[in-house]
Amino acid sequence: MTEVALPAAAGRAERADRVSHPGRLGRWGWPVLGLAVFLALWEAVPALGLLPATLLPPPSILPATWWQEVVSGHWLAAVQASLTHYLIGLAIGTTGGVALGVAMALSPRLDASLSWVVRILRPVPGLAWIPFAILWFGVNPASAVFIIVIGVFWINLFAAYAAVRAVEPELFELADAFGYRGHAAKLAPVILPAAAPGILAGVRTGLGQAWMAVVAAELFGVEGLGQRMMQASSLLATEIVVVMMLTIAALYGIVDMLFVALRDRLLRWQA
Amino acid sequence: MSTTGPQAQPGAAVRIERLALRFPGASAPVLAGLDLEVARGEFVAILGASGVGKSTLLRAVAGLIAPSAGRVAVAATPAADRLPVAMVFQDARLLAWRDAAANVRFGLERLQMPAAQAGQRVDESLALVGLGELATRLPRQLSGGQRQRVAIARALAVRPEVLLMDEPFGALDALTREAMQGELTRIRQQTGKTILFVTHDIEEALVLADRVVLLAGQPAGIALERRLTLPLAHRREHPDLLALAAEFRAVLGTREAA
Repeated sequence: MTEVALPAAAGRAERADRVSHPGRLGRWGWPVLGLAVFLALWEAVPALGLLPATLLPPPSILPATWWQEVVSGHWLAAVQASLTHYLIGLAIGTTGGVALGVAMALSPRLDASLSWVVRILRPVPGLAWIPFAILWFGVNPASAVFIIVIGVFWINLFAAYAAVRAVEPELFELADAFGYRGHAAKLAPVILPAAAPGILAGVRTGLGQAWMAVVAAELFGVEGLGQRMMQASSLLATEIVVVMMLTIAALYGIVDMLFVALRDRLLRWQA
Repeated sequence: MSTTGPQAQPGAAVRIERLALRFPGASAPVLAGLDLEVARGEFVAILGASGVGKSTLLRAVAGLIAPSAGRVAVAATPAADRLPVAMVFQDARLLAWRDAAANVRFGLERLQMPAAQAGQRVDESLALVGLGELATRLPRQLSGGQRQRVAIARALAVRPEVLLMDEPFGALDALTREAMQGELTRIRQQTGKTILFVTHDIEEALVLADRVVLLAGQPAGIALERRLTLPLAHRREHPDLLALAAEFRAVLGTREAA
């Protein structure tokens, strides 16, 4: 038995070694190489005439395009507008979704009352609300915020609902035994911290989802990165479109990085 | 709530009268017509097979479930800075996001007392269970035995009249379990607490308690009750303990077979 088992175990160890040590290029080498190949291919396609530069602007012209956008003031204005929509929509949608999700998880009556309403509204994509957003709020920041709120509301509602439902009943009993009677008394000291990992996972998904909603909500004319992309594409200034796309990617990356740092701090009690 | 019933008789910390209890949703009672009195400072162990209703009885004393008939009274002077009863569960049930000291403080946060006094109680309680050094450790950084000590400290911190313990050492390995039994005897001698202790382990009940009550039957009642006078320090090796254990085992065996 042992003779058979030993080589098998050694084989597993070797495989693990191969996975955890990517080779001489190390931890940074491979990603940098991959990115370089990607940019080279991207640059080559228009340079070799495989596609016109208006359809695929080469990456080499992007820094200058970005700088022109900065100097003209378009870039900062668009970023400020989009960030404002994003943060307000995110705050309202996240708070609302988490609050209703927690309430539904704790109240069987509310859960039952809203179950069909949720079933009807939840599958409706956030973008399908654009006509109503325009009718209700007009083409202005409020309608963009509204679309973003819808975009993150359901994610947070379901994440918070599931997270609270997953809190062990034993913790509720413990709280009862020490005088925390009723859900309101248990909420801050027990329920929310116990559900925090699940709730924060939903919030993080919402951070990404909200950027998609930002662009979509601005495509119909509200000032921001989405609107600037629409303007640029109608003039075939696709290099500006790409600059705005990369701006969104960078903003999302920064927001996500900050959030992960905050989350890790809040959940540092986890193994 | 157990404290709102009639006051227990002088000297009695807990008085249970004709108590009937049902599991939630069950039609037949798990306990019926149970009478039991626990004197102030007494350590009573409730023995019985799984599902007989021991834990349910403890929860009724804790006020976590309402009796379907009869009453439970805990003699406790109403005070803003203590709870009439406190519970130690089989699983330590520590809040994973709080360190040991903050877990001990959990019960105190519902009581009215200055922060300094609460802090002092936390320190005293942790010292009493021998964990003064580990106050800043998170539950995941503690062993099973240490976690259960924190749970005991949390219960003691609210200065309960009666300490309720629901198989508190049931999830521990044999060695830790024996060590914890010794610790509990020491803590009890130091604090003079009234303790109602549920276990399915005959030896554990006999080693720890002043009185052992065996619950059996459906609905369960007291099938055997013995007061122990053997010295606490040397019980485990005492020959009389074996005889008593055999007696309990015999009754438990007959009732389970029936």
